[in-house]
Amino acid sequence: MSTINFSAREINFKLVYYGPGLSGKTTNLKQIYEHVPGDSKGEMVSLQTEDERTLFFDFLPLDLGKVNGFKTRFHLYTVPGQVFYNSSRRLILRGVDGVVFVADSAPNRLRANAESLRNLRENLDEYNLHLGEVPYVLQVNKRDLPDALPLDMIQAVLDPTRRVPLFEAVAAEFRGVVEPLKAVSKLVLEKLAQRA
Amino acid sequence: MLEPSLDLYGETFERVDAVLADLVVKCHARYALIVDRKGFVLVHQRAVWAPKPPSLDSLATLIASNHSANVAIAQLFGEDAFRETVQQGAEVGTYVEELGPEALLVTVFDGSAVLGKVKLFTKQAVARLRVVLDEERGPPPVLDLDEAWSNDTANLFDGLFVKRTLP
Repeated sequence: MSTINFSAREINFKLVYYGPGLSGKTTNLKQIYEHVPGDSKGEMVSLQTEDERTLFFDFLPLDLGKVNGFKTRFHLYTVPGQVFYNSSRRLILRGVDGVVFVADSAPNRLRANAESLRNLRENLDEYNLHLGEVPYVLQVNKRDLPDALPLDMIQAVLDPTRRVPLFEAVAAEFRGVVEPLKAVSKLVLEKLAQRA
Repeated sequence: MLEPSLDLYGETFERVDAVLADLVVKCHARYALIVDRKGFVLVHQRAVWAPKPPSLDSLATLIASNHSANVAIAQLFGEDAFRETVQQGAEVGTYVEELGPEALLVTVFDGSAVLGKVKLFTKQAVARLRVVLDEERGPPPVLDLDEAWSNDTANLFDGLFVKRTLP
């Protein structure tokens, strides 16, 4: 649920980039950080291992500006993708308002994508949340790989009913990075508006 | 999501703010802040003599995440949580107390403060804050968050990534 700070007239949302290891979650945040003007972003915090793998999370606050006198802010997080960091992933999901699931297009990562999505469902369950109730979009990353799997195949595994908004991306080149962020944010905002 | 939230507004906010201001003075802390368990700053106070704080967003996120991790570690040993969370560096330290299920009270201090006093006055502040927060409050201010607001806010993203040029 969003945090509304009445005194500061701020509405804060928490978005989490989820997905298997090396799918490009941190790259998304780095690209967003590089392309957002300085007055609309805060410091990016990365808790990484020595070999630059995410250990706990990456964090980037974005400041959208004011509407109706309320400042809207999005806090973006990534989770560590490596399988053995599940405790950290679960902690980062606490209070999540929306999820961008970053899938990897490499042929040998199809199973990892599926397992990560199952892991997301299990971890949300810990907070009595269900993926169908959480604003959620799919970003299929690394579409520039020469042997990238067909989009249909990835979608058939991750979203066989084709209900989840899906975006192709090459995050390292800032392609397909903004669209999923904007889409999940819109879903999050609509959900709050319905509740209000 | 089912996360408990702590909404501060009106007179309650003023009283909470006053407790934090008092805490900062009494234990000679640099800063005192309340952050929710998700890592958002709800209210903060800074001593008049204290240097400019680091990014409060980063601080709140790291404090909340660190606290969650500490609770998880405690639970590995069958504890509900660790009783105290104190971090002390050469110059600066932090002391964290739980403020109910919704939030954390964080006191940031330096070498000019005595840790015992920081702990004592932070615990006292938690008790005072609980009294304030447990009192019946009026309804929160009505927010005009309709579909138009949702669309207008979403459209702010379009401007966010457009390369800005000087007029």
